[in-house]
Amino acid sequence: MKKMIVTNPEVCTGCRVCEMVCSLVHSGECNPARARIRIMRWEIQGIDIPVTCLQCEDAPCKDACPTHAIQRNPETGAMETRKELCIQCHMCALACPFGATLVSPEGEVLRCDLCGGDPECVKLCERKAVQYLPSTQLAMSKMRHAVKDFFPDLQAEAYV
Amino acid sequence: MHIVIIGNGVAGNSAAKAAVRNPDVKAVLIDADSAPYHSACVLPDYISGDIPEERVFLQNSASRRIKRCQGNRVSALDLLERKVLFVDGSMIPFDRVILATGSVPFVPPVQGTVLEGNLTLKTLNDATRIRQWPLGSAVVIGSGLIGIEAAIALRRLGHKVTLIEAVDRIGPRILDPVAAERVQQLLEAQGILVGVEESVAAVHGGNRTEAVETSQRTIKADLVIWATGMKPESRLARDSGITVGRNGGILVDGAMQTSASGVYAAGDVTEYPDPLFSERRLNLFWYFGAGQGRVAGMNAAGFKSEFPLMLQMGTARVFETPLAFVGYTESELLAKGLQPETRDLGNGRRFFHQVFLDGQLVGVQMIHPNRSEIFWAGSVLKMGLDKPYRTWGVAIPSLAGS
Repeated sequence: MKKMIVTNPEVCTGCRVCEMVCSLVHSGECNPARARIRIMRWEIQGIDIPVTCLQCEDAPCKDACPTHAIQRNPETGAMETRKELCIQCHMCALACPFGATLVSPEGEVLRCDLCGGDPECVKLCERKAVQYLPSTQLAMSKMRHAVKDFFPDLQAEAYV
Repeated sequence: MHIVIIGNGVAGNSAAKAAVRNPDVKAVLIDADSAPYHSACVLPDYISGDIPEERVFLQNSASRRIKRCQGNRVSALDLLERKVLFVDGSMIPFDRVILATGSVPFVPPVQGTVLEGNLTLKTLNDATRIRQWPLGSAVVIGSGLIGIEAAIALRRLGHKVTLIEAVDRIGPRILDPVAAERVQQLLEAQGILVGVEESVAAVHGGNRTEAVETSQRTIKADLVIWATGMKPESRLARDSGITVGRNGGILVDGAMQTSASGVYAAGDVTEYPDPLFSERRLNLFWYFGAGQGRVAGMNAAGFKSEFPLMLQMGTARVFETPLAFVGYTESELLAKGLQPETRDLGNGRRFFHQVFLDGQLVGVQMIHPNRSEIFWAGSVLKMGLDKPYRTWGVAIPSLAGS
């Protein structure tokens, strides 16, 4: 069953543990500048939104890559960058509609690889603002989310 | 179903890969070029020695239903009999055909361009010759993205490089004057001589080039690189009566269908509608080739797919400083009689130039030493354009009430 990373900004506290663990497992240091998931904070509204790669079906980053270095991992479905082919032109970072393809200060392309099918950020998220769900369950949760807009009484109940 | 694809570039290969998703499709990919599938975008990196030759080549689709037919030139399309005719007299029948013949460099008609030492930069063969050229004085004519990258690669090899541009600034189609000035400073800091408002009158020499005569001076030149633009290779389409646009590209709709039924086109050879203006333009970019090829292949194979409207965008490394551009330039909008507004952020090495039209962000040019910042150029612009990107997988809270 194909699974996806699902974010729920409504419960995210902005603790940024996901950023820390992501950079730790991928580059061996707790440095948010090397994290593949980022928390976008709107200070005035008091909202924190986790942003990470959505592993698009027709991925703009894949089309933009002039060396075919971005390939989908058939097992996890993640769009993975093959370092040995990457020439660091950063067209993928430019092409991503969500800004979810990031570049490290050294020029290395950072994109969520789903940690090979077992994302570390999901395990450490206390509030379950980042979850790793089968796509069918995701569809149900989206439905629930859409439906509750019609019934204000249901607002209190958290979705997913 | 037999699908014949003419052209072995990114558009042709993407089309073949997409078409054989339909198990009934047998694809033939015709390649007139003798070099295997490779990426033209990485050639400057190859010239400067950043990457070895084997990394220029790309992985083909391994499908057995794609037959490759190499070294044979197509002479004509027979749309009535549904056949592709070759120069040597042989032919292949087709049900659908995809034209992905790409583009060829355009060299202006001035005297002396046939001398040994005049080169363009499009094929792997060109790049290899430039790479192996003995060190000396090189003149690069035209300062688009190819010209700038070629000048940098030659300079890094150790040539004495002069970059010539006929307009008043470098990169006139991708950069506004403020950004062009900064890029020019970066080039000059590394010893590239830049001449603007200078047009080439002739190339002089005996058997090989010795000097370039411009409107202002004569420059010693052992090597002349013509980066004066590309033109679509649309002869096959024109000869068979398929509609070709003002810029010489094949006109296609969102499904990459041309004016003739069963004939598709993709990549550099097409003219595609502009996202904001009611006109068509040539889009000589890798991602157009990759995306349009896939869409053409899918539709030819009987699936439904549509290519979106997209903006021009690109990146380059000006020595160590990344340059990125997306969307329209202020000068292009002024030339259309519109009143764009601009905003410049940053200073010195860090520079961010934004172009607005009716309060909407439509163009970004950035020079930023911190590579991590590059994604801003793309993502900020897309938010500004408010395009209906799919947002499944993320629930975006409404900010309307706050």
